[in-house]
Amino acid sequence: MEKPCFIMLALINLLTLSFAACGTKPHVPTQAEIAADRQLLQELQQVLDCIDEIMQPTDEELLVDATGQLMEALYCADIATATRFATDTALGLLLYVDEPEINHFKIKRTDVFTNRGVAEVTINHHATLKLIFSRNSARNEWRLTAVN
Amino acid sequence: MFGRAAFLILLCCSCLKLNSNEQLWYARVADARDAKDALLRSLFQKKGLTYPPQRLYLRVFKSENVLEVWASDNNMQPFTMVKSYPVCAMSGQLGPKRKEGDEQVPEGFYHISSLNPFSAYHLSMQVSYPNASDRQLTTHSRPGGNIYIHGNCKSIGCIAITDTYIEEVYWLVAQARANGQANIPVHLFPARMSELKYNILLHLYRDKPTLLKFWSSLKQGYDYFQYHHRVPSVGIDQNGYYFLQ
Repeated sequence: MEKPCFIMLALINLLTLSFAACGTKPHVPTQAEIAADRQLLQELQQVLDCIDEIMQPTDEELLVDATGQLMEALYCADIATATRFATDTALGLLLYVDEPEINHFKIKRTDVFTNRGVAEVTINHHATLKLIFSRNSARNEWRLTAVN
Repeated sequence: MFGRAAFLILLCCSCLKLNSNEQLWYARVADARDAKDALLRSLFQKKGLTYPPQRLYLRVFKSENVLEVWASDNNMQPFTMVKSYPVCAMSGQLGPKRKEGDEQVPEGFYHISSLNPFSAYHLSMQVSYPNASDRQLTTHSRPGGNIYIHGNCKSIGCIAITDTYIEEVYWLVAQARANGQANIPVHLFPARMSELKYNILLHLYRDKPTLLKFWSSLKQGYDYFQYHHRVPSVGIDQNGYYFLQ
């Protein structure tokens, strides 16, 4: 194509686009544009899913959370709250642990199985307890059921 | 004649004075002294306490299976913890002894009433159960008795702390008695009655108000000692519950 013709064609195209932009005629997306949009949406959804996955706590995080809240409740002698995270039997077992007060606690490690979790906790830099948690299903909260 | 008799009497008295701890006449006690005296002396020295002990205080926590020995050099000084002994065996459940044969270990404020160097469980120290509170709160005409802290590891209402540990505690108690402490207090608690444990007890035994009322009266004595490290002076009200005097 000759150079002047190319320039003319470019000017005509520009003119056409200018009219379209004025809204005289709605733009009908091309198949390529539709495909590109779909691709973009898919990618966005994948990013959202990824963020969602990051935001959802893992079982281990849930167990650490339950252990922490239980220990905090015991630290404050708040038995009403502690009963949310511990059965009466487990609370009774805590009587046998020779720690009159809880002045400090540290969760050393956690092991999570399907509906059973073990949190190893050190109390007052002294006694190490294995707190055994259970739950009926993955949707239920962990509850302390035994102390070793 | 009279002079000779007087001399003999004086000689006997001085011998008695030398052996003021009459418990040493018994072979098991002498053996306990030989085995444990150096250890206990060093323990007291480390704690800055006079040895032989002047004043002792014992307390037992049933849940935790612990017997604590505290000592003080005189009436003015607060007590210092000397040693905590693990209890090897203790029958029954939490809650006081209320009748003969219930195999319960009592709960309350007692003292060591006698020492038995011929015990079937090596050495034993009798706890002054039943006291006035127990006699009032008993659910039976016979509240029982013969509650001991002893050796071995068997218990029917008693507190067994093994032969090696009873030798230590017994020898300390024998010396404190020889030094003039007639009543060595021994306080028996269901558990350490801290806020946490007391609240757990309140929760677990919420359907037993009588028991909780009794424990609440015990807690006053626990709290007093915990705060002051001095033995509380405890009275017993008309219903048999303890109160601080």
